[in-house]
Amino acid sequence: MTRVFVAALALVASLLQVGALPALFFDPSAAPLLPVALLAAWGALRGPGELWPALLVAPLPLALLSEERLGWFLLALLPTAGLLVRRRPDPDSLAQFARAPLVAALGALGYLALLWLAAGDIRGLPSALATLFGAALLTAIASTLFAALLWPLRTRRAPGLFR
Amino acid sequence: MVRTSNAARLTALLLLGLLLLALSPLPLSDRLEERGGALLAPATTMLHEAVRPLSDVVLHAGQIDELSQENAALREQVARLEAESAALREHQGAVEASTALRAAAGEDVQQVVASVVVRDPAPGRQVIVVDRGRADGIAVGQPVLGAGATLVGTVTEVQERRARIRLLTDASSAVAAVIQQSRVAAALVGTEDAHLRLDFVSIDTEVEVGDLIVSSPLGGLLPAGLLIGRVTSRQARAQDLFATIEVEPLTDYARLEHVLIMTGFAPVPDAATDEAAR
Repeated sequence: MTRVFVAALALVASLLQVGALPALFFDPSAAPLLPVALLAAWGALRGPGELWPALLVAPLPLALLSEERLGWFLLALLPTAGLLVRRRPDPDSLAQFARAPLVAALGALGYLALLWLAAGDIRGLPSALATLFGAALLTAIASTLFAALLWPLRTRRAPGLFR
Repeated sequence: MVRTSNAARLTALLLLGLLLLALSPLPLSDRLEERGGALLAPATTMLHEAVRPLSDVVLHAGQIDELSQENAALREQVARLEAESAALREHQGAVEASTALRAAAGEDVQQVVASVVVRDPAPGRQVIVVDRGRADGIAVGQPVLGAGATLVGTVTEVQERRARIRLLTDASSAVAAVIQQSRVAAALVGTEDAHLRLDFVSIDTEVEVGDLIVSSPLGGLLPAGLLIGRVTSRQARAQDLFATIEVEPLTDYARLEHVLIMTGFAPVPDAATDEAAR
């Protein structure tokens, strides 16, 4: 059930990404990546185990309203998931919280770089670094906000019967 | 164990992504993406419209100061232009009204155009004050015309630069009139509710709704043939001597702004008084 909830959240985040954010930024490519931020925050607080359905659903709105293929968007989200798989956070620690923006920023960079390459504009990548880092920063900020909102839902250390 | 599972899932997704990319050249994938995009388009459009007010604020946030200054300057300019425009409209309206009044009354009639400056605030009083007086040749008893050269009242009091005009609808007003179609003479009086009524018309007289009422020279107080109003209703009971005839003015007295005072007309109250005395 939790996975369905996360998938729904990711779907909404993707819809906002394609429907709302372009209207709020002069350069839509510099907008924060809401699906990445959400996945990073959720995965940092609760682990990546509940993210897999969301990783399948989140690329759908992005791809269906884009010229890029669904496969590219799915691949572009994988760096975020991969960063979350590497190491589980200590339950009830602030490391859970601090991990979210870091994963989000790196995940955003991976996402943008992959899609940039998918577009075939490799030469334009260096000149777009400022935009990429700006988007990564904003994604990190968004992920921090998500993490703050989701903090009550974080995984906690079980008290244990014999401790 | 969990890590292995997650890594396996991650690998599966990676393979799925590559598979999707491999399948993407197929026509089927194009059709699926097209249909899916068509389904999602309304939702994204709705979202876009929903955030448009917010985006207007956000995207113009850096220009707010500049825009507010420009807005203030434009408001000031608009206010000044509106004032100029209103003054020009007033002047144009006065000229047009004056021209229309003069044209309707005839150029050969001596007349003075006056502006209504005050309406009698007393309830039940249908009296106006105009900005012309004795110095302009205004005298008591002179007929006053409104739009379309219809008779609206008579001068009842004159000062040096002001004149008071009693409208026909005033309850104490009574003038000689004629039903234009039947040429029947009658007295046109104002009523308490600021309407007009035709008195002393026999019930045998044929009066139709829509008949025109014009001024009568009978008594020497008014020139002949000035339009006044139109019959709107006629009621007559068998036992009555006179019919009750309601008359609607041809001019909206409530909107009088300019009037034409017929200074060339000299009433003959003395003759009327003498005749009445005899």
